[in-house]
Amino acid sequence: MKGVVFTEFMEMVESRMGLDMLDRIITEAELPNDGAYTSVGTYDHAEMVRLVTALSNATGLSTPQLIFIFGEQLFQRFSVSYPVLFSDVQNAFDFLSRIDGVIHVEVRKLYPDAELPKLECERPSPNELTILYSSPRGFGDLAAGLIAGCIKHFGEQISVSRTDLEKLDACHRVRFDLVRG
Amino acid sequence: MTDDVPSTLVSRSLARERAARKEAETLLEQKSRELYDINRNLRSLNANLEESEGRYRTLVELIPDAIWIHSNGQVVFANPAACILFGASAPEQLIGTDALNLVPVPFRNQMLEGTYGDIAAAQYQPRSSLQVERLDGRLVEVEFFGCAIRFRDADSIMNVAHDITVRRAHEKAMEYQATHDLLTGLPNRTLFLDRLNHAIRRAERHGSRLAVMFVDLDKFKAVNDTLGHSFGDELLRIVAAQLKMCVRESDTVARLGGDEFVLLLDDPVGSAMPGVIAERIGERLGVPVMLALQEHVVTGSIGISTYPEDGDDAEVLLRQADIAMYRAKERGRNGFQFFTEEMQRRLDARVALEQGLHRALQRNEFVLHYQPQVDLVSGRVIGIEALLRWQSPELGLVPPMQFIPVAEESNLISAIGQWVLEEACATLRRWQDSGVPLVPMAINVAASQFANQDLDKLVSTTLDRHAVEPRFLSLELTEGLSMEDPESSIALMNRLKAIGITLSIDDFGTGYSNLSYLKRFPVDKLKIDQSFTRGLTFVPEDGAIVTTVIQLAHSLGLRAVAEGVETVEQLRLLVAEGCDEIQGYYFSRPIPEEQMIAMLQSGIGLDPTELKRSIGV
Repeated sequence: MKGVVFTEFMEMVESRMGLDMLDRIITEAELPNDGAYTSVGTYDHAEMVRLVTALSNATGLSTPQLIFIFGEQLFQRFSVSYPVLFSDVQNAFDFLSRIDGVIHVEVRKLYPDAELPKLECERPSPNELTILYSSPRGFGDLAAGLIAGCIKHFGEQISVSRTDLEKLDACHRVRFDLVRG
Repeated sequence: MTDDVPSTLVSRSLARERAARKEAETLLEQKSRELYDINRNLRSLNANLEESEGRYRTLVELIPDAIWIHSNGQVVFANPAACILFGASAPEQLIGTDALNLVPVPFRNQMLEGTYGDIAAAQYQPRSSLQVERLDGRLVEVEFFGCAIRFRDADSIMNVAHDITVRRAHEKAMEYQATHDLLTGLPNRTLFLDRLNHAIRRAERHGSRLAVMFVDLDKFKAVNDTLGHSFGDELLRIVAAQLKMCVRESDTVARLGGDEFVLLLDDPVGSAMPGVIAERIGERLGVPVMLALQEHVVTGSIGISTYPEDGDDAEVLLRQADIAMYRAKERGRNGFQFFTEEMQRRLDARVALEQGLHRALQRNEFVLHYQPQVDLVSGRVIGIEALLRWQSPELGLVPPMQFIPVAEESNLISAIGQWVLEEACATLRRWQDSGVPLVPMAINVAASQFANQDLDKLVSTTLDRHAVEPRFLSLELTEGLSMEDPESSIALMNRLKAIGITLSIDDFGTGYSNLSYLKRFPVDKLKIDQSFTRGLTFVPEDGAIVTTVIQLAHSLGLRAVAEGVETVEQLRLLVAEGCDEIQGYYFSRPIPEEQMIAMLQSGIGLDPTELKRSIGV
C-alpha cells in the first residue's frame, strides 16, 4: 500500500484526535517501523489494518466506520494536493468514471509497482453510475469513503447503495450503485 | 532518540519524522540511481539510433540513383544523385518545388494517372522509361521507379531514377552499326531490305512502282591490289557520294559489302526512269577520280529489277538485280541490264550444271580420253594429251567447253584438275604394269590451279604415290595463266621443271604474248592453236603466223606442236615449215583408254617416207 495512504491516515488522526491519540495507536499497533511512514514509500497493507484496529479500540468506533471516514478525508486531501486532477472535471460521475482510465494511469507513471484496485464504471442512464470495486485487499469501506468524499467535494445530491459481492479469483468485490437526484 | 532522554510524545514524534525522512531520502537516492541508469540506457539507445540513421542516410546519399520524395505534390527530400540529375547545386533548389515540374509536359499525364495516381499498383510494376526535366530545361532519359513511403509522418511517394543517357547512346550507336556500313555511312543490307520491304508494301497499296539497282564496280580488286586497301576504301567513299548524287533524297543508296552497292528507286517516274538513272550513274562513275595522285577511271556494271514486273519479294528483287548485273558484266562491263526471265533460266541452268559437276566428282562421272601426238620426223606416236570428258547420267555427254568455264568460276576446277592429275598418273602406272609401251602424257592446267603455288608439291607427291617417272608427265599451260604474275609463274615453272616433267605453252598465239617473258619460261614446247592450223591452207595470214611460231619455237630452242590437224594439206604445209609434232583428227580423234592402249601396243604411226614424198623431199 502506498505510503501516502499511511501519512494521510496519520495526518487525519492527528488533526482530528490529537497527537496523543496518534502516538497511542502507533504504539499499540506495534508497527515494524514505529510509524515512521513516508508518502513515497510502499508498505504492507496489514500495517494499515493494525493501525485502524488500534484506533477502533481507542475510540470505540468500528473499523469499517473509521475506514469510511478516512476515505472521505483522503479524498478531501487529494483535492487539495492534486488540483490538476480536478481541473476539467465538473461532477462526481465524471470524476469517478476517470479513476481507472486516467488517475490510476498517472499513478502508475510515478509508481510502476503500485497495486491499485480496479474500479469499473458503467452508466446505465445519465443519472446512474455503477462502480464495481475489486481488489485483493478488502478495502471496500475505503472505496465507499472516497466515493462519499467525492460526492461531498462536488456538492451533489447522490444516493449510494452498496452491495458486497462474492470474492472472485481472490479479489474482494463490492458494487456501488449511485443515483443522482 | 537517546536513552538518557525520557521518551516523551514529542521526542517519539520527532524520531518518527526523522526516520521517515531518512527512509524518504534513501528512496529518493534509489530512485535517482534508477533514473540515472534509465537515462544512460536511453542515451546509448539514442546513439545507436543515430548511428543507424546515419548509416542509412549515407546509403541514400552515396547511391548513384537519384532519389527524391514528395508529399502533397511537393518535393520534401532529394539525395545528391537527384541534385546531379536535375542540375541543382543543393537539395534546397528542389525541396518545396512542385514534384510534377520535374516531369516534362508530355509525360505528366502518364505520371499523374499511372505512377502517382495508383502508387500501390505502380510499385509492383517494372521500372519504366521516361524523361525528366532538369532545372535548366534539358531533358534526360531515365529508368524510373516509384513507390509509396511514410516520410516525416506523411504519406509520400519515393521517386527513384537512373540516368540512361549513355546507355541509350550506346544502344543507338549499336543500332546504327547494325544497320549501316561504317566505311561509307550508307545503309547496309539489313536496312536496305527493310526499306525495300516497306517500299514494296507501300507500292502495293498505292499501285506504284519501284526499282532495285545493283551496282558493282568493274575491276575494283585491281585498285585494292595495286594501290592498297586505304585507297580502295577511299574510292568506295567517293563512289558512295557519287551514287547519292544520282538519286533523290527519298531513294536509298546502300552498300552490301565489298564493291557492291544497291539503290532503291521508290516510285520512279515512268518505266524509263531506272535506265536514265543507270546511265547517269555510268556517266558520273566514268569521271576520273584522283587516287594516290593519279587519275583513275572507275566503271560500274548495273543490274536492274523492278516491281511489280519482276516480283514482290525484297530478297528476290535484290537477287534478280544481282543476276542482271552479272549479265551486264558479261556484256563487257560499264553498262546496265534489266532483269529478264531468260537471265533467270540461264542462271538456273548454270546452277544445275554446277550441282551436276559436284555430283560428277563424287560419283566419278569424269573420264579421260586420249589424243596421240605424232613426231613428224619419225612418224611415231611420241606423246598423248589426256582430255577430260563428262558423261552425265542426267545431261548426257557434256562438252568440256560447256562445263570447264562453270568449273573455273565455281572453284571446282582445282578439284577437277586434281582428279585429272591423279587419273593420269594412275593410268600411266596401270599401263606400265600391263606392259603398254609408255609415252609422255600431257594434261591441261587451269589458271586457278596454277595460281596455287603448291602445284609442284601436288605433282610430285602424285607421281611418287603411283611410282610414275616424271619424264612421262607433261603439263600444258596457257599463255594467259603464266602472264598474270610472270615472276612467280616463272619460279613455279622452274620448280615443276626441276621435278623432271616437261612443260608446254598451250594455245600459243591466242593470248597476248610477252616475248621477253617467253624467253625465260622453262618450257619445252609451243603448241600452235588449232584456229591457226584450220586456216593454214586458205588464210594466208594464218599461214604466216604458223610459220612464224614454228621459227620462234626453234629459235628459242623449243619444239613446235600443231594442234587440230585435220587434212593432209595441212600436214604437208606443216612438214614443209619444219613443224616438229602434230595432233588432230588427221591422225586420230581423242579415243578411249582401250583404243589408246591398242594404238600404243600396235606401234601405229605415220609413214615418214610417205610424209617426205608428199612434200617433195
